[in-house]
Amino acid sequence: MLKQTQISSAQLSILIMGMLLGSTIIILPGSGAQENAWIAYTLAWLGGILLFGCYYTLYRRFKDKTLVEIHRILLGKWLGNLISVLYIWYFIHLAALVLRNFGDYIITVSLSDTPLRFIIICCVFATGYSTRSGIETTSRTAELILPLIYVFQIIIFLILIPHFDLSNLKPVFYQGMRPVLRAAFSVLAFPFGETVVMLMLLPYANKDTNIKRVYLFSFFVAGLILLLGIVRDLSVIGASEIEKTMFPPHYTIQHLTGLNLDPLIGVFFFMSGGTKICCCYLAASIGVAQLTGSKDHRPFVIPIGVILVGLSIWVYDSAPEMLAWSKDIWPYYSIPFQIVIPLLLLVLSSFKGTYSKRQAL
Amino acid sequence: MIVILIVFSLILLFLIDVRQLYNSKSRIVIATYSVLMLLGFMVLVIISLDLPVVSPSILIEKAVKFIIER
Repeated sequence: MLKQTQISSAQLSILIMGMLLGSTIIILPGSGAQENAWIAYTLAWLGGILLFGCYYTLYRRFKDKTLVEIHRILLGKWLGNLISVLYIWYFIHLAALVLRNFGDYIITVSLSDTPLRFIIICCVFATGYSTRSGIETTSRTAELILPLIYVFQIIIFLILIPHFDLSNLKPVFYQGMRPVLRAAFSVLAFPFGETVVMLMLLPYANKDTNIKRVYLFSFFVAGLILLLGIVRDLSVIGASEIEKTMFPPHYTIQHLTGLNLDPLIGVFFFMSGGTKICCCYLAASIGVAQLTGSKDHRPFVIPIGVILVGLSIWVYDSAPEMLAWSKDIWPYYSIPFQIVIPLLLLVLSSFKGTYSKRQAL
Repeated sequence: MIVILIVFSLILLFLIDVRQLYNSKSRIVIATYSVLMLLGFMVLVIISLDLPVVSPSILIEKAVKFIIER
């Protein structure tokens, strides 16, 4: 498949940040560790950099190749295609999960009488249009809107400082290391490991893009914004309140008297979640196009969108069930896609020699 | 009634893609498109008629728990 469209370093960086912020911005990553959520998150952040190392090495060995193409090169046509189909399912499932998060958030927070189906269909229309227009349009849109999140997140953090009670961040390791490590693992899979999706989009970056620098910068900035969010939520409402709340940032913002910044959190989510859905949607469409040998991913956008609408409603009965599932099951379910298969591909590529070397022969 | 509505909506969506599918002239593209549309139709029917079909998340959950507990 020809990668005629190209995105700049800044656009790639924004897409990676969108993938990381995604729906994480409306929940509290690492909440399983309670008051030590910030430690769990920091550990996962470091682990995320290690995972990135794995993805980056794989990308460097097969420059200009997407994950689907790498599978074919390393695993052969049949096994490679089978693994690619599994990945496409994973991307669609991830998009459905974020979509459902979005629908549930809107219903819980603002439009309680609106049917979930209507919200999800509207969201799929918007993201589908963006996906159909291609990676360039998606990244340009993200480039325009995503930086606003940083500005507002920092402003909200600063405004809330008088409400901070830093004793909420202690005691450290009161229940031992186990809950912290478990929560860190959960955060590693959601959102850091999910950047495996970017392996489908990295080949669309400009030739002069320093992927390593862009990736690390995005990891640092998006990670810092999320850490600020965790510290803010923990300090303001405390771990015990967070446990009872479905969307802690929304609850935290309500502590501001005289200022109604509630809708801002929803807007943040629409920006970052929309970018994440677009990335997964694009990855799935491009994956299907490459599997079928099509040069254009656009014919597959509508069918995948139809599946997304149905799947996001079908997969979970309720919002609490979805949140519990994403906390307890998703990390384990993601292990093969985020860790095992990329590592296996890396080992295989080491045995077989780099693609470029083989091409030279 | 709801099934007819879904079929009608999918036909409308299909019309958007007809030209591109025709231009692709690839059987595998058309076949994949049809399979995906059929899958989408089935999922929509399941949720619209509230059919008692086990959700994929439950199957995944069972598989994950089976592996973890071993």
